[in-house]
Amino acid sequence: MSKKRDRIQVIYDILNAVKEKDGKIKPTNILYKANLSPQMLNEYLKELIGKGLIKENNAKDGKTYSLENKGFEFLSKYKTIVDFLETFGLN
Amino acid sequence: MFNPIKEPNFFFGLDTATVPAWFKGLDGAIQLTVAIIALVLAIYTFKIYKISGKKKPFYFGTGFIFVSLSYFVWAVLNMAIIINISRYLCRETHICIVDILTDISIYIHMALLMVGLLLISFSTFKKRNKETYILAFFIIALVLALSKQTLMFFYSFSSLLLLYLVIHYVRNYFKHKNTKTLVVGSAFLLLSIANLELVFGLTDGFDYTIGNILTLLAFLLIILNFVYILMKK
Repeated sequence: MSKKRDRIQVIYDILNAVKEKDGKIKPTNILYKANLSPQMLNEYLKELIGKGLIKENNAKDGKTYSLENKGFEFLSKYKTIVDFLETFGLN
Repeated sequence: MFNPIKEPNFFFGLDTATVPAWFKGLDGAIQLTVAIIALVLAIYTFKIYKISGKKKPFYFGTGFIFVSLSYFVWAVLNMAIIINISRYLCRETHICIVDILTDISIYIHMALLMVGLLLISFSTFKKRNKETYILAFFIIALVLALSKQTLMFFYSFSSLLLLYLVIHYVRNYFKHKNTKTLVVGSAFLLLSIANLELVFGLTDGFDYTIGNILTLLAFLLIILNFVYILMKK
């Protein structure tokens, strides 16, 4: 049985999924790539938009999401954050 | 009940008879350095809390804010200029605020450091019961207020709490096999020993000196570890 992911890992998985699709990804794609329930996904997307990590784009064929600068920054610093949390026993 | 401090007051540089001459003034610099290091760590931890929303970094960061403030208070009062101004005022005007300031500052320093260490240890628990910690704080505060050996009890208690953190980090090391965790554990061990030295430092300036130096070494270990994490790609 796989270990439960913590919040930071889920955020990373979502942002990574958005980045992999070159900044234009639909909600269902994130759902499968990040392995989340629809309810959890909506909550996380709302939070990430609020924190300025991703942006919602309303196109003719539906909503897509792209990374903001903060999102790119998070991805680049993810390993550092995890290392810090592990080193100081905060994970 | 709310006793004036019975121990010699040289923590705040007033009774410098047994403190080595070369260390006078340096203690304030050490405490200021420690305050800055604690603040830097707290700021970064809060950034992580802001991104992740995890409670542990929040308590950890807040703990280090209190630790930083406590050392800042201590540093300010160890500054030679403050002491010299106070002594001058006492001599010229007979308004001797030094003793009052010292007593108040000692209690503020203890309260801040105690809250800081309790919060840091609180952050390490899997299940956190706020009421237990609030109760622990008030029990300790009451014992300190009633104790005739306030500082001795306080530094002994701090040493014990820091020892608990050492055990936590050693366990963490065996869990993740992360050498940096061991470094943090070593830093807390040094801090624990430093606080024990400060207990002896109540009557011996040499132990006071060693206690301060060990405190600085501990925080330098922490900040070097932190910088290494940031620089590592």
